[in-house]
Amino acid sequence: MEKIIIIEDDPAISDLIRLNLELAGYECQQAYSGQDAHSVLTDFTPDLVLLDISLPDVEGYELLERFKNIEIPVIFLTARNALVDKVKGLKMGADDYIVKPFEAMELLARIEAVLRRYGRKSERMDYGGLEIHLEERAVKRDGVIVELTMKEYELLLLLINNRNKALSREKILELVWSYEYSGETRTVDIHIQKLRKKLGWEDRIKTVYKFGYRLEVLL
Amino acid sequence: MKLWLKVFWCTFLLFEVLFNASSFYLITHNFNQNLVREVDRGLSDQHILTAQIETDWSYINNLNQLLNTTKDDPAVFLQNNASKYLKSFDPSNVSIEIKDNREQTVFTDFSETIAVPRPELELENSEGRKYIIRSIGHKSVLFVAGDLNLSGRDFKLTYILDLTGIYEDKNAQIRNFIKINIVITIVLAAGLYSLIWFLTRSVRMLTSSAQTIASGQYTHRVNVLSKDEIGLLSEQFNKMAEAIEEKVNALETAATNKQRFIHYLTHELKTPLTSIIGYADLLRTTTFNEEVFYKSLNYIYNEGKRLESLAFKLMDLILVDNNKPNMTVEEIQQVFEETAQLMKPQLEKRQVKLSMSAEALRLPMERDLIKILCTNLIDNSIKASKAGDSIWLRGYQTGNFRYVIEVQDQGIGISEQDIPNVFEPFFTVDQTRSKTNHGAGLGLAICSEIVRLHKGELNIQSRANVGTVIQIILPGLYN
Repeated sequence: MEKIIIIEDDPAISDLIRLNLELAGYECQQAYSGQDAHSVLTDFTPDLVLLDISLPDVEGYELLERFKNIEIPVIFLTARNALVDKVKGLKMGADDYIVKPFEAMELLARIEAVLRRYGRKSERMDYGGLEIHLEERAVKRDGVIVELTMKEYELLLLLINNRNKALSREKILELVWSYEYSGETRTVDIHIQKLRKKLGWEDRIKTVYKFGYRLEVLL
Repeated sequence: MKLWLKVFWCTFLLFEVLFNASSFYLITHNFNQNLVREVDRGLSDQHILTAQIETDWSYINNLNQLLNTTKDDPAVFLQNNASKYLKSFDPSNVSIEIKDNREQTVFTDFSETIAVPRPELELENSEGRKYIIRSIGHKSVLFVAGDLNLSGRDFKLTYILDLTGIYEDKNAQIRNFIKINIVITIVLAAGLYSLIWFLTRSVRMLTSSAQTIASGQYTHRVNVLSKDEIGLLSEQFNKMAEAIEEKVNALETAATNKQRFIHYLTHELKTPLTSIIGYADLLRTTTFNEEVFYKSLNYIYNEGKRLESLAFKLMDLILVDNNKPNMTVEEIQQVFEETAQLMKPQLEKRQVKLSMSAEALRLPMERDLIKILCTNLIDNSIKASKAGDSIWLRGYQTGNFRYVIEVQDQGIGISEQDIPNVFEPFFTVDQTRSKTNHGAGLGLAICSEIVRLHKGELNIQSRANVGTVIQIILPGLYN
């Protein structure tokens, strides 16, 4: 369970991020100002920081230094779209930069990429009776390897990372096959069918009517 | 060609032409006068000589008759005596030649041979004399021929005067003149060149300054060197440059302001949009969870409201910006009452009391804008106040027929360092507070624009946690 601190002054956006992160299985703390962040950080050591640039009491850039010293990755959140702002943030050592308005999936993908770069994402993932070895790209059930093709494996990871959320066929196509939707979403359906069969997840991977698929969380 | 070079060449050439022409005229005139004098001298000398010889001859002839000696032959007499007559003349210049009527030379002391024809010898009548100037070798010689009558025999006496001297004088003068001319030309050219270059340096400076300014250095100024026309031009040019600089600066400020406005606007638009889109997406992609569901919808609603209020404020701002005030004379009290009516629901909701006192006065105003002004001010005060506070809306006349609109509250106030910023679009004193109030931070920016359109004044007195008094002073009917 990776821990993330959300430093964002707008409560609506802060809550939105928290909801999304918790759905994806992260542990979150919220801070609404620079000062707030300091008090939260006394008994919370995050694996990653989401930092808004314009805070009511300080500029986000000023907080950056503190996290860099203890080697915690920082992703900037901002409404400022100007290139100078991006360059400034990245130059000062931010690990990534997300411009509002952003999509939850994009945020999750970036968080995951940064965490992996820092080696904070654990190498092994346990989910629903599956052991997923990220380094070897191997999936085991009860110690036995389940044979998955490359695309099936990536599809599985996408579903797990966005568990409890409906993913549209177009989005899946874009993220797994990395091309924009061009009308042919049958590929997605076929792979979902195969995945269901191989994992015995006929009930888990739900079809969302006229939209896509969702991996239901285990209660 | 550059102006100063043109001036130089024109002056120089004009001087050269006039100087040469007048010099040549003087030399030629002088020479001609000398020549005329010499010719006159030749004519009179010839005449004197002829008369002398004739007198002497007639004397000798008479003497011979008296003495009854044999008559002399006039030709022999001339041959023997002619040279004596020359003694009174300069022998280097003057010669004579005597010919008889058969064109035979009786006497001559002229050394050079004279080419025929000799038109001067063809005399028409006995009294006449003829002269000619011709070149012989390198000499110029005047020939004056006239009749010489000795005892009925005709001779022709030619007085020959060497004029080479005056020709040489003329040539010497021309040579001299050319030397002087060369010296004068050089001195004149150098003098004129440097003088004109010096006098026109201000023009060149002006040109280079104009180029500098044109290249974008609007702070550059021309150094005014003189009080002449170019000096005046430079001064005017500097004034122009100043005007340009001011304009450029004003444009730059306007551009920066606009840039900042857009910057803030994007921020103000994107933040609620992020929430709305994000919660909507969350709701449509996740399984139903009651708590998340209501929370999300609440956020969507509030952020939507925030966008709506921003949109209205922006419309007000656009209205004010595009408005050429259409002033009518209106009763201010009425406007106050309408404003109070408009604000009533909001006042009740926040439990804030509004007390109104207004002196009746008819004022020139754009009614809708004044209403926007009053509602914005009261709206700001409500947002700053807490339940139970009071707001006062006052209107009264002051000196010079002016009218004061005053809004006072007991709210959070504005700290001293924030007061200059409150007219900036999107500036809010307390950010979290204004977000819960759906405030966009545009109210006072709109107010100050409305006041500017009415040529009024806006004053703010405020103390943090004590309250704020905003005064709008509008010009009355008299003005």
